[in-house]
Amino acid sequence: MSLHATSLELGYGPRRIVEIAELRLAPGTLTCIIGPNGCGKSTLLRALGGLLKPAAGRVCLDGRPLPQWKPKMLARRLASLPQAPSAPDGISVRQLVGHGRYPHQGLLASHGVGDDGIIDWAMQATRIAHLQTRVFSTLSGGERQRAWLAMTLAQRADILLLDEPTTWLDMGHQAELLELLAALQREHGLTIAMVLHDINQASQYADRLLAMRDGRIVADGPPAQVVDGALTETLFGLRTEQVYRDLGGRRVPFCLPLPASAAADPAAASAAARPSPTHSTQFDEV
Amino acid sequence: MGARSFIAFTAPTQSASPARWRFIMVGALLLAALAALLGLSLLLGAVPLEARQIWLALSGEGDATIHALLWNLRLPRSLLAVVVGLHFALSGLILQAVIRNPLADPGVIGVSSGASLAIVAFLLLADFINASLGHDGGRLLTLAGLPFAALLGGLGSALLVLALSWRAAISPVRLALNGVAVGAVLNALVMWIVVAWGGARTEITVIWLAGSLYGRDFDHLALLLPWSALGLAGAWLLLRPLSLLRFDDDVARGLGLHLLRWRLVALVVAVLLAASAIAVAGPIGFVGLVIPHLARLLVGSELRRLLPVSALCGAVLTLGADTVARTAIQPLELPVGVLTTLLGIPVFLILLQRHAGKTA
Repeated sequence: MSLHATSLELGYGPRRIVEIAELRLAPGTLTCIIGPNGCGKSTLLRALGGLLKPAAGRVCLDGRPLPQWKPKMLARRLASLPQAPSAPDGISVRQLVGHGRYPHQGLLASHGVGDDGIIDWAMQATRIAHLQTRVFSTLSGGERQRAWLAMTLAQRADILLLDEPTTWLDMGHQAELLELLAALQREHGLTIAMVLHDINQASQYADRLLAMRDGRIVADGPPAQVVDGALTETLFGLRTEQVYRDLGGRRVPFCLPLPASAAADPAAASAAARPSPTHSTQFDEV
Repeated sequence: MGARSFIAFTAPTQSASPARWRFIMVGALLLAALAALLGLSLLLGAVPLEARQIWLALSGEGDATIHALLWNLRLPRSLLAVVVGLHFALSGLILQAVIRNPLADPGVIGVSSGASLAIVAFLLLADFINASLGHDGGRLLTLAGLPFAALLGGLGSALLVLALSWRAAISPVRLALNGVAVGAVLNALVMWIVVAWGGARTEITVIWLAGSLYGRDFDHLALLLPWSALGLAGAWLLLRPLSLLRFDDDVARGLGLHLLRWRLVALVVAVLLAASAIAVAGPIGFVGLVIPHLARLLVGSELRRLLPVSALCGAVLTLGADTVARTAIQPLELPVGVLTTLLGIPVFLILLQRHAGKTA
């Protein structure tokens, strides 16, 4: 029971954007994909969700290539939330979330009672139950994002692929959403892969961190092993100071950007960023 | 995966929502309005009738002239207005969902212009053939063949637009662009033909092109009804997939929608509804564009409510407009298409203004 990609080549038209030899999402894990803008994170996520046909290679769920799955069967197992989607005019929050039940419904059968229960649960989990009669377009950015997530949860798939789910959310709502995802993963054994922009959030919540640059995976492993100053320099050309926090018995690395003045001063920078030569071996630079 | 238990959720049973009551109220009012209009449309006309006369004629008794007037002219015409309005409204609703554009209507995928071209070509060809065959040849091409020509023209142009959009996986934007482009070319051809060879037929051509129900009988209704049955069945099947087609491609596919298949089915249903209605009544303007918006303002945008309400609104507007069109400035008759536009647009604008005032 896992999502498994082999010799994947992705692109739009003749141009290859992403090339990955092998990638397996272990069941029940939370994977974060990070990397600079345009590195192919979203493209990879689309291919994993079966939304983009690979130019070469394939993605399999339970050993079966995605195109061989019936769309509804696939959607019961695998839920994708694209980045900043748009909703039809005049649709209410409850209606939007209700669309998540589509893969479980027949063509003609009426709206099931079980559906209502799951829709209620999804809205409660994302704290939007009080908004259910509101028209979607009148919501704030953060509320919209939570409504989309509720729709995705209502699908009740065991694999969630989320493209920047924290976009539009303020700091508080970002933390709340990530906590919710972590709880879902812990309590229900969900497999989650998501693109995040913030390396520190990724470090805090991920079991596994995939760092991408120019369409290739340049670092892959638990955050404690891969997050450091060298990584931010590789990915973003950004010098950072590495600090550690103890969170629930886990030592979590964080990278705080250094101001340009500090970065320019070699003594201060090297003292702060502590570039460790052992880590550089993990990057198979292209 | 089935046995995985999710967070225990005790579902608060949903009480009948205000939206549901609103839907029932709106539906009942529209049905009442439709019934009243139907009665009124039988009473009014060049020869005003009384309710008693209509009752007698409907039950097969009474004056023969009134009987003929009712059965050959008013009743089929009124019923046709109802069905045609329903066709245009549903077609517009489906197209707006598929093309994801509030401006979509049957004109946008070339159905109207294809049918128009066929109508014009048929009318002039009929004249030419009948004239060249002389008297003894009889009339090979009669007006009875016109609806079939229009249907073929509408389906043909829609097929062309679909074929042009096929390589782009019928993407909504490509579909709209191809539709508008094909429509423009066909409309130019229509104008050319009318101006160059219209001659004595110009008047009837123009009336057809504006959309009219003049002189329609039960034959036209019989021609239309099989398509209505097909269209309604299709629309019913489409309820759920159509709701998802309104979303971005990735969202719809992520939810398990077979995108290409349902987009194609939806387009075929919309095209059949529009082409068959145009075949008997000409391209009646703005019903397909305005009615879905009007219905949305009345009952919100959940399709299982929107669909029946759109159908009823389309029927009411078209029947109302046709009744006014043939009684307002007697003995002259206006094309109903002119009136649906003149009536529909102000109603739409007023509703839109009030709606904007409420949400602001």
